[in-house]
Amino acid sequence: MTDTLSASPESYKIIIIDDTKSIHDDYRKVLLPEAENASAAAYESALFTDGKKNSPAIPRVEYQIDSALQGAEGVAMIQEAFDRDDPYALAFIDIRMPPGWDGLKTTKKALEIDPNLQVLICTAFTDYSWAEIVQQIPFSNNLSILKKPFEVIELKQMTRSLTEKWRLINNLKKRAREQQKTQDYLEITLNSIADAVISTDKNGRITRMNPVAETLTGWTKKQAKTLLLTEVFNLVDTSGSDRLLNPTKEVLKEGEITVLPGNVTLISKSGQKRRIAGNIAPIKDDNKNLEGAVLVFRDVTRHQKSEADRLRLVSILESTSDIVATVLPDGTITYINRAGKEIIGLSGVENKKLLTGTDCQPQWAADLMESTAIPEALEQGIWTGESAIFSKNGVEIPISQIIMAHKSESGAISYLSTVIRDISESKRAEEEIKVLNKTLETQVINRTARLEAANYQLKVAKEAADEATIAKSNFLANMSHEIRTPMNGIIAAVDLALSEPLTDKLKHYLDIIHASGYSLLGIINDILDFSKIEAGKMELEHKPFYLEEIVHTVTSLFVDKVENKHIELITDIEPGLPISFKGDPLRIQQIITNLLSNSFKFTEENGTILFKVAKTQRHVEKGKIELEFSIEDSGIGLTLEQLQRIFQPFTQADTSTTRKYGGTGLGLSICRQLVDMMDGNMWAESTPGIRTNFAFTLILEIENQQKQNYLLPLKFRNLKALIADSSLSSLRILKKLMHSLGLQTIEATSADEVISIVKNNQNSSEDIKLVIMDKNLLGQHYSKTIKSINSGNQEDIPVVLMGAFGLNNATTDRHESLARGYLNKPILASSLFNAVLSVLDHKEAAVPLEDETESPPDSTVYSELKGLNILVAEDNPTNQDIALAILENVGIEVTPVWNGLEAIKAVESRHFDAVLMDMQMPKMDGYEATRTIRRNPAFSDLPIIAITAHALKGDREKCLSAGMNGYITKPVSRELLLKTLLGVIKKQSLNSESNPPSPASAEGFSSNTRKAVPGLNIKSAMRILDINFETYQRILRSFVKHSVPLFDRLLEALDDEDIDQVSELAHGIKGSAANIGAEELRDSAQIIEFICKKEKNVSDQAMINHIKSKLEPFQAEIKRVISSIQTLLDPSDNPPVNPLPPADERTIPSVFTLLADALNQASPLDIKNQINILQHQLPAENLETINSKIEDYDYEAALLELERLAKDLNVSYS
Amino acid sequence: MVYYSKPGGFMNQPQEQKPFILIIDDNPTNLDVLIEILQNDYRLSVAKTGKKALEFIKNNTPDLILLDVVMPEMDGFEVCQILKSRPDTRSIPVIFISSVNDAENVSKGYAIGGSDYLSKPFVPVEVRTRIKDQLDLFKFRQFS
Repeated sequence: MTDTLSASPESYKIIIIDDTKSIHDDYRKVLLPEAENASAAAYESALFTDGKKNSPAIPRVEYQIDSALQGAEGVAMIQEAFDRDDPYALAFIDIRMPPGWDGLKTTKKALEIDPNLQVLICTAFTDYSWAEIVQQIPFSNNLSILKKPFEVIELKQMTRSLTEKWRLINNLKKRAREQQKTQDYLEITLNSIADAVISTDKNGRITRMNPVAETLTGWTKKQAKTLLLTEVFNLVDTSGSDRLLNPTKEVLKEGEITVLPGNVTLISKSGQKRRIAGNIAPIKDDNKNLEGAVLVFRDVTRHQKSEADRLRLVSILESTSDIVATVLPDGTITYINRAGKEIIGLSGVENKKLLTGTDCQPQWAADLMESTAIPEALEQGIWTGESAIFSKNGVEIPISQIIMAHKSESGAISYLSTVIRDISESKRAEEEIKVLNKTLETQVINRTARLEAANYQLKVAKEAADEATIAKSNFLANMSHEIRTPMNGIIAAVDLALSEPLTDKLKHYLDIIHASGYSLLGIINDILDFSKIEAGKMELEHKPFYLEEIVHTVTSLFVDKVENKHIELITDIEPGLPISFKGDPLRIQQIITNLLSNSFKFTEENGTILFKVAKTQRHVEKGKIELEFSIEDSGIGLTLEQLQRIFQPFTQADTSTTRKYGGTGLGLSICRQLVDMMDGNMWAESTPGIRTNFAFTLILEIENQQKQNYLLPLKFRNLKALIADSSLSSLRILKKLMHSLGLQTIEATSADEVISIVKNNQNSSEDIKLVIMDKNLLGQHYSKTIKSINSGNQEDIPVVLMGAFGLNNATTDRHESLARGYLNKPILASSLFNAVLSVLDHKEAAVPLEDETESPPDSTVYSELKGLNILVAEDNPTNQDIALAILENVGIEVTPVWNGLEAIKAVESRHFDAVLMDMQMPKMDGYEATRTIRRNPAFSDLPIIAITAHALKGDREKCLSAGMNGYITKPVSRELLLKTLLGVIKKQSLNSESNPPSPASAEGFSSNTRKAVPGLNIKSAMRILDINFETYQRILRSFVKHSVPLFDRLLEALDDEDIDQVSELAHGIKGSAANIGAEELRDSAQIIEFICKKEKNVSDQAMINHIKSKLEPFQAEIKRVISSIQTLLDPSDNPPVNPLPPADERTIPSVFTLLADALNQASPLDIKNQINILQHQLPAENLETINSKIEDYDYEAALLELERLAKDLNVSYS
Repeated sequence: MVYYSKPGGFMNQPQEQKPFILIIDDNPTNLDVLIEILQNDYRLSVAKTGKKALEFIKNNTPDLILLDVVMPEMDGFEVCQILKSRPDTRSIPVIFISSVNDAENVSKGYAIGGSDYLSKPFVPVEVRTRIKDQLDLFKFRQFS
């Protein structure tokens, strides 16, 4: 890379027009250099230096990237750049950018402004077809398409290509403009110079003449055009009146410049005579071919110099203090003024060659004159510079000198003139300044050196510090295994111990260990998370989740705190958000949990915390949504200074709060970084002593578009409900939720108010059908208050209580009150819906707490696991004990082994329903053991679950690719282990019971329903290839003919154990299958190819066995595809034949000749045309062989066949 | 201006002036598809092996080469390396077409002198614009 650095980079301006901000960052990441990105640098060096270290440097390219989030904004920027004459080279334009212009309109507008702009549309081809794109954008030559998803290198390369294309187009246009400009200049010059100019073509006919020529000849350009020069340019000898032979002809013949003879007179159209001088020159093209001649001449009639003028000039020259002299080309002085004579000390210098040479100047000055000054003056007409001469006393005088060459009319140098000025004084001054400058420079250099040294020291120190930070982070990130393993032991063991019968004292101690263990795990997780982020090892999940589930999970963590600290926790989720999203739910939970626990920490008793989720106004990419999560509390608040530091790691608001509130000070920093990783923003605002608001935004992919909808059934809609809460914020949210259910509300803020409203509404047409109230309004005696609400009513109005029903007191609360339902605060739409519906629907039945319905007792859930045989491979005795305890507890029979080798032996010796496999074990690790087990086809379906301390994302993929069915991270919790096991076992039984797919014939198929037949996705294939059905049929025919036999060859190759061949054939089938839309077949072929490639290190026999185990479905799939193809190909449906060419091109020998030519040219189109003609002239059986060769693209064989055919038919062709 | 093609680009040009593309691919189905996509806009020749292609190029100079990567005997990378090592064929743009489209192979394709790398499955518009880009670039480079 170092050699490329020396070349100055080409710089291009790029604009990204895309409504998704993260895409801008992606492009930047790819296109802008990143020093720390070593692998990218390696790529680049491999790519742009031909892979050879010492290959010539290719100019580096730099991009300046601007961003626009909407089409109109982007186009405005393009306009502005174009007007500034600093246009963009390339625009990346997104296709869909709601709500503004789409990509096509944007492209069209952009190209209208800047027709040179290159446009790259990155698209997944879901929105427009090529035809539409071409139709809508006239300059499709500037438009390029990049299919998503693409490799980074592809984007780089395309960017490079397109910017180069832009540069080249610009250069060419610029050159054309410059040529035009030169042309224009020439025209202007011709029209403005004092000389007359006439040009002719090579025949001597006039092509152009300038105004002076028009005046002198008396012919207008218009009249003269296409006349012969001799007709217009009428020359006579001045002395006599004989007409002269015009020299144009000679010039055109000889191609040499010719000077007009001395005494010539031009006679104009009107007969006016003028003495002229001039010459004629040939015009030649690039190849020196004569194209014409140009005649340049001037009127010299008036060239009579005034003697008086001359004398006046001479007197001026004589009085100046500069030396002025004229010299003949041979050096002889013809004139020197008075100053010259005085300074140089000569008199009568005429006819002496004394202005140069060592006699009159120092050696160096004489050399300068001889080598540079005189030649330059002769060549270019003028030389200026500094030199020296000797004074009459022999003193060296520094001089500045001008030498000019004067040409005669013939163009030869007739004399030189010079002006010499004594610059002794200014030289002296200059020297003094130089000395002064030197001193200054030295001072500056010294200071700079000192500064640089200091900078270097700083840099070294900074690098050392950075390295230490990275090393530390790496160390901590790698510690995760070592830390989690013992933590696993502690937590799991305490978990187990707590489920045994215990004395109160012992239980108390164990509770402490339990709580401390979890709190320690929390701290460790914080530190590990932070280190992982710092070391760049944190990777995010991308999986579906339900927003409500997250909110529920997180808020339920704080139920006890709400109860104990009397803090009101209100959730406000905007109604109508989509049901589910894609992202990393655990990390999102982590962020919210962190923010909430902060709020709880800093909010005093009786405070309020408002947790809000709402869609932002910002428009994001289709299929995505931006949500803002905010958590506002009425806590102690933060000062501006604290706000500025709050997201810094290891920092808390201040040291005193650290002491009061505790914590690692990493939480917010982690949250901020996690949000950053999810392309969101996080911020905080606060009014000290009053409120603090932490908020963050996330752009999430929508997993299920369906809106969160909790509208009640019609019969319950518009019923009136009374809602009551002392907290107005809480009441406001509840009202909003009730309305979204379709209910009407009346609000109250106290129990008394509730009682009086109920009384007043009694027996009116709009009875209150439901009361929902905060349990705290009821005071000490719930039942009494509820009774008084309903006293005197004919029918009891059901009352639902809201509040924090912590696990400890919920039961008692419920038994004592007469409430029909309970709602845990904070209230979510789903739980409110369930509670209201249950109460209204079954007015009699009490509604249980949701918690009870959600998790049925273990016995039923895990009863399916009872009696299973499970192998546990784990080298750590503690962990083995824990696993055994958990599993045996639910009635599983467990066989423990200590390493991978033992695991393999055990599996081979007896039946197991599943294997739990630790990944790190002595002798043979879990990966290796799993791979070995999988190699035996008998165990291809045996469920294997990985247990690992590795929490890094790559490990999971590693496990799955080794053939694991599941994956659990340590510390292992009982719940997770059993759940995973259950999941794997259930899936297994489902697979074995599933029915084979229905045979192809079962589905009715007519040629009109060309959407999909078994095994073929016709619609997708035709759309992707952009072809019609006839073409598709042709391709299918070719597939049956060429690709199906590959399968037999694959079987043969497998018999020969030629794995390379098997891999190649599978690859071939995969490619063809993909083309015709045979997706399942493509996948089957890919599996075979994959096995061949990935199991290179395995014994051939094992691999062949593995391949053979996959052959059966492969073969079945091929049969299915063939049968489907046959239903699509009507036997009578022959390919259309092209119309015949004219008869004279149809004689058999001539068609043979043309076909042979076409075959030699390997030109499929020409071949097809000729074969079509032959089909009309020869019986089909004659052409069978050659046709088959041609369809196989084996043109050499087809050519031989053609020769054979010619022989048989006795046709002679060339 | 000469170098700036009109809307529709090369598509409107008469047969002789259509750019000349050599397709090298051993799979007849792939050839069928590529020919289908390109036959209206380009003059085409096909070769089923690298060897035949190199033989063909001795007497013909395509404006651009579409080159399959995975082929028996001599793979596309080898063919490209040979083309790029010869002074008379060095400047012909080569576009790889392959279903082997991991980063390693894609980079290799570019590193040995490929002008572009198209991954299968491709869509016709992609093939067309990419070919057009490389042909334009090639032409402009010659003008410069």
